[in-house]
Amino acid sequence: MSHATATLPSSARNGSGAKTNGLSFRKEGALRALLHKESVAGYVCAFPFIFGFLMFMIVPMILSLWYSFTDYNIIGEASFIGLDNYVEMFTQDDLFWKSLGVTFLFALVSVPLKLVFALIVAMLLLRNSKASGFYRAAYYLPSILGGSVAIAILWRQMFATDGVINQVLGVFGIDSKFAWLGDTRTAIWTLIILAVWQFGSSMLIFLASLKQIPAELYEAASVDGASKWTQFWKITLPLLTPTIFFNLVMQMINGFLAFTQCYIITQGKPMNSTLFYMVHMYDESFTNYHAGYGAAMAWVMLVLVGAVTLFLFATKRFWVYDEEA
Amino acid sequence: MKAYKKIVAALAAGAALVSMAACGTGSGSSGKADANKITVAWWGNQQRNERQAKVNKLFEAANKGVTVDGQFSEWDDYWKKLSTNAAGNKMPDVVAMDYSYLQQYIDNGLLVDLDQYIKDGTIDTSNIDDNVLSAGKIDGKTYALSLGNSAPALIYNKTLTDKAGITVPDNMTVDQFIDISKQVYEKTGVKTNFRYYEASELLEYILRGEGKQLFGDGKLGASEQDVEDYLNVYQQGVKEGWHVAPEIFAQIKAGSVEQDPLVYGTDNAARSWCSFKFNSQLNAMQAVLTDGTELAMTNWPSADAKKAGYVKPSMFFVITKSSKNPKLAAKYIDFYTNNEDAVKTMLTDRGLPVNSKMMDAIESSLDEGDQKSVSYLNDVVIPNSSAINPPAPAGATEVNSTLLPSIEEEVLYGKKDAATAAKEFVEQANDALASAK
Repeated sequence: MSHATATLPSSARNGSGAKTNGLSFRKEGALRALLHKESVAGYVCAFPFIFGFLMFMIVPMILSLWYSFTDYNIIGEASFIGLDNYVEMFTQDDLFWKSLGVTFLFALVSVPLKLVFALIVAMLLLRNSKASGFYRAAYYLPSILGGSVAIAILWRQMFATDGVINQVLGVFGIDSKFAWLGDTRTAIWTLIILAVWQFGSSMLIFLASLKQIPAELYEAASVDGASKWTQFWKITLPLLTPTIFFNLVMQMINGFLAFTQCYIITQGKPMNSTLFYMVHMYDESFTNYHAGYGAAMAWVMLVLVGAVTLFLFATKRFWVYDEEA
Repeated sequence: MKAYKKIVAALAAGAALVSMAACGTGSGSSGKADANKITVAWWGNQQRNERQAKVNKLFEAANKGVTVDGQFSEWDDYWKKLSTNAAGNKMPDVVAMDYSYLQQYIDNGLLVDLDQYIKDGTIDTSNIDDNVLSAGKIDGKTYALSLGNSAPALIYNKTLTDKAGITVPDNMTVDQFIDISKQVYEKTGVKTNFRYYEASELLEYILRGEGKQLFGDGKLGASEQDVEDYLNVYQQGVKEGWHVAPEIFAQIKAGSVEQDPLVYGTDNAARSWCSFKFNSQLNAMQAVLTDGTELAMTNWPSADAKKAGYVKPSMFFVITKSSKNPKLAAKYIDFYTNNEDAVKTMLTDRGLPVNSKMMDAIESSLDEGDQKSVSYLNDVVIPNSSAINPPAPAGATEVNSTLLPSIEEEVLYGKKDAATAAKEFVEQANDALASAK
């Protein structure tokens, strides 16, 4: 590649100057023809991405696949151990199953809740008032901040024994010393609430597609005497299903890959009831120095996420409205 | 149109070039261009970070043109960062090393043999006791230089126990300790933290008192009964109410000096009257308390204080294989150990200075906390201790950071009784130790 980057600017300069030498003219002519091809410009423009994709995605993925068959411990050399990591994962690691269960619970509960919330707020913000711009921004904000460490720490303080939640309960006469983060029944829900609170990006996508629904449909429906409620179920929701589908797939994938919330707020405590798959993988890799095992876990997760996504696509024809069909 | 496309192509090529050049300088920062730069990494608390930063400044002042890049993390994060650095062959030049990780890093060939620098005089060890030097020697080679000595210490809230009229004696047994914990709880409502969710030093200490070694050769040196006795303290404590409830620990960072229940938290149910730490941590804990509360210390409880007690190199400095300037790194270690200003800055933060001449130099600058720390080591531990266990094997990391904390958690939450938990722990620990061999 260094060849191309070195020659490009100079040939571009020569090309626009006077052509004096016949020999170099022929060569440059060929180069110019090459450079003027539509596809070359495309490749050059896409180069930074292609380079990044190869270096930071494909190469590490291949390496991690290799490591998943080794006993790599990060600080030493890796040696091949075949399928041992995978066998251990499925037969001996209780935390693998535990964290898988927690992650599924988290994704399957938080994602639908988040989408319902996003849709409700999007419907409310659809009206064009002066303040709606402000509210759209305000409701979008958590989804930018939500994954950050600062919010995670804030969350931990809020749900602490002497935190805001218990103090607010105190105002209503409920004298609570409840440790929301310390109880196996409630800890996961604090993380789910945090995830639902980050509904902003789904909300924006809903807003955009709500605006696409032709107003005539609603007019025709109200002429026929359909109530707002009927209009929602018969017009809005069916026409939104492609957007819901898109949001569902994207958020599901994100849900399975959740990490920060658990890592900063609960670290899997109490009793691993909030141990996300990704955090277990991280602990195995970097705390216990079982990086080969961690790589194997990553590949299992890749297959699982792929399977869930395929499943969602398979259900598509039963509930997603398709204009062409 | 064509001209436009040409410009785009040229710009894109330029951008790619710039971004690659940027990569170049990034990786070059530790390369040959910086023969005068070293990176020093350590774990620690606020007090240590401040003092160490001052020492780095002193080193820079004493060596014209040299820059020291100091990197610090909390204990947990430190080892994660260090291992990933090691994987990328980008470890800092000088890193603080703990006794429990030393063996692993040597086994994987990541550390430089310091003997060459001792021989050529870069690191002056003439005032360092042979016993101290031998702590960093593995297979006859010096890989690590001890930075100070410390010993396990039960740091406790003396203001609280005085007020309750309870005296905390030296050389307690575990039963005596439980008895005092109960008394404190009855009289003040303040609870106890039996080194919950931290590494296995306390279990190791109690076992030493009975003449046993926690990490034997490739397997656990403790029987199920030994572990059960230890876990029983938690079971009893949570049942009778004098141990801090596990819910409290879900809200703090385990092992952090600043968030330890001894100094953190306002509610009595979230506080502990004591903390199982090392004597070098007294000052950092005292610094958190601004309300005039006085901390004191004694040794950890055990059946036999002499058998259980030990003096530990509180931490080491090592030079890593990825260092581009090992000679300068060696100079830094020498400066840290032998320069009077440096020693006077660190004082007893990493334990008593190893350079015997420096002891006299700093005596006058020691504050009350430092003096307590010194007299504890000299008067309580040293006359009443035995040799430290050999460095822990590789699998010990998993036992310390995952297995023991989670088994303690299950007992505290009442999910398992001490006997079942002990059986499970011994099994898992043996697996971990065997597979890491």
